[in-house]
Order: sequence, then structure tokens, then C-alpha cells
Amino acid sequence: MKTLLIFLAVIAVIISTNKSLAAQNFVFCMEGSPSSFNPQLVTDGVSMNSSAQTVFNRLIDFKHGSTEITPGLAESWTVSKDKKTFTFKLRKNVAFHSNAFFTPTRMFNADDVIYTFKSQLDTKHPLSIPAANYEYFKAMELDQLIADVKKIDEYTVAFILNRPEAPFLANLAMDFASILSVEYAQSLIKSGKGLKTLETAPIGTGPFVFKSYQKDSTVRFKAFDQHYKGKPKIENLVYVIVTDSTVRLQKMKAGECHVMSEPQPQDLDQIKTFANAKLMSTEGLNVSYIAFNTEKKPFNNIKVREAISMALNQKSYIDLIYRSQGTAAKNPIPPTMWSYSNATAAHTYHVENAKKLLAEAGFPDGFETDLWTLPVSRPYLPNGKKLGELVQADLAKIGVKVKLITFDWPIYLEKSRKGEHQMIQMGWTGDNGDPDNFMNVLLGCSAIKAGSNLARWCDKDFDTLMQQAKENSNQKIRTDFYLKAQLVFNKQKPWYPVAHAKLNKVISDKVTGYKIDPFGHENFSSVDLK
Amino acid sequence: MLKNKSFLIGIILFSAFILLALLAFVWTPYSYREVFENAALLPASTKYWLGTDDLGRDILSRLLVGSQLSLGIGIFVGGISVVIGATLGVVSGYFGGKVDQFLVQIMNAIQALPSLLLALFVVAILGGGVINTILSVTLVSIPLMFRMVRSAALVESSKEYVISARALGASDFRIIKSHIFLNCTTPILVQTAVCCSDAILNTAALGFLGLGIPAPYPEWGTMLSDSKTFIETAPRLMTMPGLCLLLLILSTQLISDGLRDQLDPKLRGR
Amino acid sequence: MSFSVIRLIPGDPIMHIIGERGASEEQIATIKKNLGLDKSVVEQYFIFTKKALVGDFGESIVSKQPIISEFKVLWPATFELALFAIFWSSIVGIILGMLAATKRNSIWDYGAVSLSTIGFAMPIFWWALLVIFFFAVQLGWFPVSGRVGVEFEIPYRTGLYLIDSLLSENKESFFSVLKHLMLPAFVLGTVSLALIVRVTRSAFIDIQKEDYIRTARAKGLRPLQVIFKHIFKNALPQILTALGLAFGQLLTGAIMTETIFSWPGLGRWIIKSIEARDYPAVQAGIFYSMLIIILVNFFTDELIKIFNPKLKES
Repeated sequence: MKTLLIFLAVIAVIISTNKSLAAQNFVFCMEGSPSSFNPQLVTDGVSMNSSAQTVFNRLIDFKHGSTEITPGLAESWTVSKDKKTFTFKLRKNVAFHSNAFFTPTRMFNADDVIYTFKSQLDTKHPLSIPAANYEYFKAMELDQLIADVKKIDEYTVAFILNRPEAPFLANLAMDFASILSVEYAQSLIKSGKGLKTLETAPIGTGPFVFKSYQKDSTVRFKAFDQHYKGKPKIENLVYVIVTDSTVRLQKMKAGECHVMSEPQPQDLDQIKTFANAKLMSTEGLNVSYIAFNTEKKPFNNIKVREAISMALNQKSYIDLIYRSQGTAAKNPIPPTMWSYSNATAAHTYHVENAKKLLAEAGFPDGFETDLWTLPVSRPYLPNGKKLGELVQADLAKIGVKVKLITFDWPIYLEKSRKGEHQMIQMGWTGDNGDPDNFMNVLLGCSAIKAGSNLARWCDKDFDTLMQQAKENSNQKIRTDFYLKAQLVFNKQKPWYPVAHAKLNKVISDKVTGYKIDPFGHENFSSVDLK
Repeated sequence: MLKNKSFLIGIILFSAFILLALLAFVWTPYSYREVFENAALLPASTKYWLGTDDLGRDILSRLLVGSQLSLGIGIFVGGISVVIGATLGVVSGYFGGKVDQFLVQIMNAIQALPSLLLALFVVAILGGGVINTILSVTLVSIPLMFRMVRSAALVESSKEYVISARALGASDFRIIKSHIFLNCTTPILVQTAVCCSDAILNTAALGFLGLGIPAPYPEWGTMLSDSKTFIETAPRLMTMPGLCLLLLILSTQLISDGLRDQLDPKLRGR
Repeated sequence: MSFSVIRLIPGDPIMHIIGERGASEEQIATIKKNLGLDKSVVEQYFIFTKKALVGDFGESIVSKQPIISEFKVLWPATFELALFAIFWSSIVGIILGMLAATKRNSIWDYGAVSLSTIGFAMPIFWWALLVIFFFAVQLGWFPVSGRVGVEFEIPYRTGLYLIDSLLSENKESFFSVLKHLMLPAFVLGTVSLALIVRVTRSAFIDIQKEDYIRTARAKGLRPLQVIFKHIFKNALPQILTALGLAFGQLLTGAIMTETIFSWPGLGRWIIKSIEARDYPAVQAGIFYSMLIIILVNFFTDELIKIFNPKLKES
């Protein structure tokens, strides 16, 4: 009995030990583990936030919290008359970080910019990472666009393009264009550590210095006191990895997190009642959709696409899947993006008319088909499986029998790229705030071969509009092209656009100066703790 | 005394589940996949006896259909492991020699990993789906049956009566059929119940990890894993599927324990 | 074995690296070459075996870290969890089993038997959810994920946080570690608890019937003396065998427990690697879990020999 009492007493002591956060720690609880800390190689949001947004800077920045561009490491720039040469004046006295085996001997200059882009442009470059394939750089077609990067003087760099490209400046503000130190890369080769170390021990000019990474557990940073915009207010920044959304919320509730990413829609009501934290939302720069494979029967028939769009109850998806944390979509681009069309028609839900249309298309008794459901939770669609179950039930009402299929995320991507699906759920988060990044990347004819056009839809009118818009740099004229393109899209219905999801973050009341960002970037350089 | 009582409880519970599963063929309150758009996450009421889930579907209907799945798989796997596992076990134990060595090697290889882990790998190789889930849980249950039956058959085949039957010129097939199998009924029956309960548990575990039976089938393990995100807001979602699972597995285990005691007096009272 | 299983998994690890954005044919070819996937399956197999024998499983495709260095951190996490689980469950289990056996047909006996029966039937993932609900969500006593509070940074020494935390500068972290360990260890231990109660009880019942126990009792030894000097000593081999068995079960249990409690151990790592089609990692995972089972079996056999002199002679 005595031992039992002692045992209970010990447990009581353990429970009551106070978990006070050390004052100088700022804790961000995020949903996944970074795959690498080299911003040139990563493609997912978590890795970018752990590298590009904390450790690095770019020539051009997006104004945090918006899609506007603003000078970064480049103080200013000029564009030649033929719109093919961009000349950047670089900022002076920008220091690089140091770590246990590297101390920079000089400030940031043109050589670092040349190295950053040349190593991605030319795989034979001596400092190009042999194993890397710089997917993002290539996915943005910069390898075909950039003819050369030239050093004019210590602090001036010129980019020479093969053709005019309107979104070029915005592309340079993307995470993969983060500036790396050429001196560091050379020292890694010299010391025999190899360029691979760039992935585990990043050196940049950003507001925070990388300290350590414990796999699937924590990433630790500390403030960089020589940062060109001034030292961040918080001393220690800790990214805590908690994949399970329920657990993440638990930690937030217990006061273990200062900022938490990706709360689930169903928990939002509860979050609003939290005494020590609040919810912050912004319209996300994203879209989720169901693509019809227009290369396959019966979806090559526009009437079938219309009928199905009419049978789907969009309101129930917004209510049950997004729990009102999303707006109903009708266009391929989100309403917060310039050139969004208000002239297009919204979805109409009408089961009887859908049946009629289907009969006209030659399927009075419906048909059997597949719907691929998203296997992972993404910012644009919290639960693909549940959405699939709803679509399945809706289409059963017009006699269309839907089989739900899913694969692991990588296989899902692989198979869908090859066009093996009939109907498929997918989504997209914008990279650079340009409509081209949505409409051309996801619906252009050339995107069929690239695999990202899941409707496998190639419309001549639409595609011509895309090309015209891309090569023009006047935003007003471009807007006209994109407005027209959206009308074509709306009429042809290669997709059923589902929703534009809100981005939600939970913020502790102790935090000041936090801004939520439409790209999903996390930048803690200006936050502070009360 | 206690054992007899618990055996009875097992039988009653198991029959109750069978009755419910049969009932679900003819009647459920609603269709298990019907979505009531404005009735999501409702608590129990006279309209929805056990409430509704996050998509506004009736939980009772889903549980009932789920019982068909779990029971179906359990009984099917139990049956298959008798057909394959027990047959191989008897053959292996009776003939011995190279056949025996070969089979034992194979079964050892299968059992080198914990059963759930192996089932996971099998599903990862074959992909999810109803058939593949059943295949994987069957595969891991066969060695259990095999081992038990083999050692029983080994004991039986060295007994006097088998040796004398053989001397009298009875064919191997006849000896196996009329003597060995008969005398191995105890371990076979006990082990069938064990395989059945293992299959139910493994299916649910795979479902919980998201690798098991796909939607729209309301498998209990999947229902549980879906309910996990509602642990704060609607904890009642996780009560019923878990409780059903526990009771069904409990019933099969009570039956197997009871059988062991009934049929094998040596073990009685343990 | 582990090699052959993995190569059968459909789906290309390369697609996982590429992600949503896509890559060209040449790029894919370069990655393949770098991962050694361009060689024939037979060649790959020989390379794998050769390296596995010296403990080199290559690099994880996803994290790009050498697997052996990941394992160095993962295995102690699982070990610590399993050890703690076995620790509490064997103490409670043996006491309960003894009580049940010595006071047969009492409340203790019924209680212990029902407990072990339900424990056997309990799906561990549901149990984990219930435990989380009561102790973390309702009462808020324990954290539900990780090994230590984020405010502590524990330098790697043994990988066992209970020890490392005491060696670190901040001794307070020890309590944080303990607190994080309790719920998952409690859940995981339940599985072995059922087994240990059952085995202890039946072993005690058997041994109580033996003549030498009766003689000892007749000699007037006090009941507690009899229990510890004679019965316990003789039941120990059986209990140890059960413990060895329980450890194998714990590995399966660890997969579920670690997944639910986000415990950064071997079990969760295996699940994640399967999902990511991380060939080298899954191969190593299978290899290591087999190795652990073999080692545990070996040690329990040796332990049993130590405690059972009869076996030693033969």
C-alpha cells in the first residue's frame, strides 16, 4: 500500500511539473518534416518555410502577406527595350551566416548570384550538385528562358532572356531562386564534405541562422544579428513537427506552440473559444478541382461534363468538407488574383436537368466510372476521401456509379500524369501570383505532355490566349486575354472547380506582428513575443 | 465454472453479432452511405439512434454494415486457414521428412515478422482494396493454424493405433482422413477461433492505418481512424466502432479459450 | 527476404522526390542513376546484401540521410518506450498474477482474469484513443506527442532520453521526458500486461500443486516466504519466456502506438517509409525488426538458462 502511495505521489509530481516555455523560444508547430534545407531542391511548403523563408533571401521578395513584389537583395532593376535583358543593382554590406566549419570572408556580391543561377542552369557547372535536377527551376521553364547571367561589376548582374516573359520578376521571388553563397560551396568541396552538405547545413543571408535539425521532431534556428534588415526580435526560433492535426491542436491548447499551421476545419469553432489563442485566416491563393479526362469516353462529350457538373451539390462540399472555410469555385483561378472573371456562370445544382442532359448525351441509365481521391490532406482540400464519398453519393442519384480509387501520393501523381484516370481530384497553390501559373500550367496544351493538365484538354482558342498573355507585359492587356480564356473554360467545363480554401493559422495571444501569407510562406523575422 | 460461463458469454455475443449482420441484409435505419447534408455530427436522437458522422450519415446503419464486413472476413479467414493451414499441417506432421522441412521453412519465413507488419507489407505490395486486405490477413493467419495442427498431427502419427493401422495396410489418405484429422479437431477448432479473431483485428488495424478496406464500405477500423480528428469536438464518434470491435474480438477469444478448456481437460482451470 | 519484398512494391520512389511539379525524362534518368535504380534487379540485390552485411543500408531516399544514422536515433526511442512498457507491465502483471493464483476464485482472481481477457481482445489503437481522450483531452495531464518538451534541447549521448536528460545541463528536462513517456508506455504495456498476468497466474497454480511446495508449507514456512523462495523462483522461466514473447508483440504494438502518439521511433518510421516507397529505409526496417526479434529471443533463452539450472545441465 505504501509503495502504491509513493508511486501515485511520484506521478502527481510529474504531472504538476510546470511546462513554462523559456521566454526567448518562439515555437512554430508545423504539419510535416522538411525533406531538405537546400531551397533549390525542395518543392513542398514545409521544406520551403524551413529553408528559403528563414535562412535565405532572394533578389526580389514578395511583400509578406501579399503577392506584390518588392526589392530584396537587388536594390533596383532596369529592363531593356526588347524586354529581354534585366539588369539588377545589388545591395551592399549583406553578410552571410557562419557555422561550425565555415566563416565567410566577404560580403554578398555578384558572384553569389551568378553561382546561384548558373549552377541550376547548367548541370555541368562545377558547383552544380550532381544528384540534383533542380526540378522547380525547370518546371518554371527558366532553363529554356534564361540565355545567360552576366556579371557587370561587383554589384551589378544582368539576366539575358531568350524571349520576353511577363512573370519573370515574380519567378525570381520564388523560393528556389534563393541566393546561396559561392564561397561556402567552394569550401565544402575543398574540405571534402561535398555539396550534399548544402542540404543539411544551409548558409544564407536570411534573418535566421540554421542551428540543428532532429528528424521528425524539431528544427532550431537562432536570430542572425547581422541581417541586412536588422536582427529579428526573437532570439530562438523552433519549428516543431507534429503531423497529426489533433495532436497539433492539443499542443497549441497547452500553450506549447506560438503559431500552429493547418488546423482542421472541424476544430475551428473550438479554436475560437480558446482563451490564450486566436484564429487568423486569409483567402488562400489556391483552387481544388475535379478534372474530367477529356481524352476518354464518355468525358470527351461536353454534355456528359455538363450533366455531371449539374449533379454535384457544391454547397454540401463547402459545408461538410470545408466547413465553410472555403469559397465555392467557378474559375480556375482564385478570386483574390488579378484577372478573375465575374462574368462566368456559377455551378447550377439540378438533378432532374442533369438526368435529361445525360439522356441527351446517350446515357439514359447512367454509366460506371472512377473517381480518384486525393490521398493526403493539402491546403486546398482537407479531406479528399470524404469529398469522394459525397461525390459518389451525388452521382448515384443520376445513375452514375462511381468507384473511388486512391493510391499513395507519389503513385497518385505518377499515374495521373500518364492520364490513367477518368475523374480525378486535384488542386494547386499559386507560386508567384501570376494567372499564367494557374491557367497555362494546368490547362495549356503543352501541359498535357508535361502531365500537369489532368483534364488532358487542349483547346485552340484557350491555348492561343495563354501564349498571347504570356508574351505581353502590360497587365491590362493580359487581363483581357485571361478574362476571355476563363469564358472558354467555363463553357467547355474540362474541370469541376470545387473551392478556394481559406488558409488558417492559430496564433497565441503572446505573439505580435504576425502576418498570414497567401502563398503559405512563414516568415518570423518581424514577430515578437509579449 | 468461470470458464464455462465466459464461453457461454462468448457464444451469445458472437451469435448476437451474426444476427445483427444478418439483420443488416434486410434492414438498416437508413442507407449506410446516404448523406444528410444538414444533419452532420448530430448526437444520438430518436431519428438517428446513434447519431450521425461528419458527413451526416447514420452511424447505426454504418455499424451494422460494418459488422457484415468484420464478421465476413473473420469467418472467411477462419475457414480458409482450416482448408489450407490445417491440411498442410496434418500432411506435414504425418509425412515428416522433406515435405515437412520445406513447409516448416516457408511458415517460419512468413512468421519471421510480426503478423501486422507482414500484413502491412503485403498490402503495400498488392495495393489496398477488399480482396487484397483479405489476402494479406489470410496469409498471416495460415502459419498459426499450421504450427498448431502440425505439432498435434506429429504426436498423433507416432501413436500406437496409427502405426498398427499402417501395418494393417491402410492407405495414408485413409489414416489421415479417419484418424489424424479426427484427433486434431481440438486444436483445429481452437485455432480457427484464434485465426478469426486475429483476422478481424488485423483488418481493423490496416483500416486504421488507412491501408485496408476502401470507402464507401464502413469498416470499423476506418471509422475509428476517421473519428480520430474529432476526438476534441465529437468524441462519441470513436466510442461505438471501438466498442463493437472489442466485443467481437472478445467473443471469439472467449470461444477459443472455452473450446480449449472443454476439449482439453489437462488445461482446465488455467 | 527484405530485399525481395520491397522490390515488389509498385510505385516509383522517384515520383515521391519529384512531387507535384513534374520533371523531364532526362531528369528522371539522372535521379535513377544516382539512386542506383538503373542497374538490373540482380545487381541491385548483390549490392544490397554486400552492404547490409556491414550495416550499410545506404541513404534514405526521402531524407537523404544515411539510414544507419537515422536508425541510431530511432531505435533508442523505440527501445526506451518498449522497455518502460515491459517494466511497468511485468511488475503489475506479476503481482496481479500472483494475487490471482494465491487467492483463487476471489475478487482478485476474477478481476485479474477478466482484465487479461479484455486486455487480449482490446484493439490497441482504440485503447490509445481512449487513453488520449481521458488523460490528455479531458484531464490535460499528459502531452500527447513527442519525447520531450520543445523548450528542452537534449544532446545525443545514448539516445535514451531518460539518461540523456540527466546528463544534459537542464535536469528539469528529465521530468518532461518522463511525462511524455507515460501515456504511450501505458498503452503499449497493456498488451504485454494481459499476457504476463495470464502466464504468471497459470504458472503459480501449477507450481502450487507440486509436492515440494506442500512440503515447504508443511515445514511451517511463512506464506510469503513460500511464494518468493519457491514458487516465484520456479515460475520465473515461464514468466521470462512470456516476457520474450511479449517483446515480439510489443514491436507490432509499437507500430500503432508510435503512429498515434507521434513517437519518433522505429515503428512509425517503418509506416512512413512504406507510404513514401522509401526502398532502402523499408529494407533496413525489415532487417532491423527481424534482428531485434532474433536478439530478444536469444537473450530470453540465455536468461532462462541462468534461472533454470536444470536446463543448463542438459
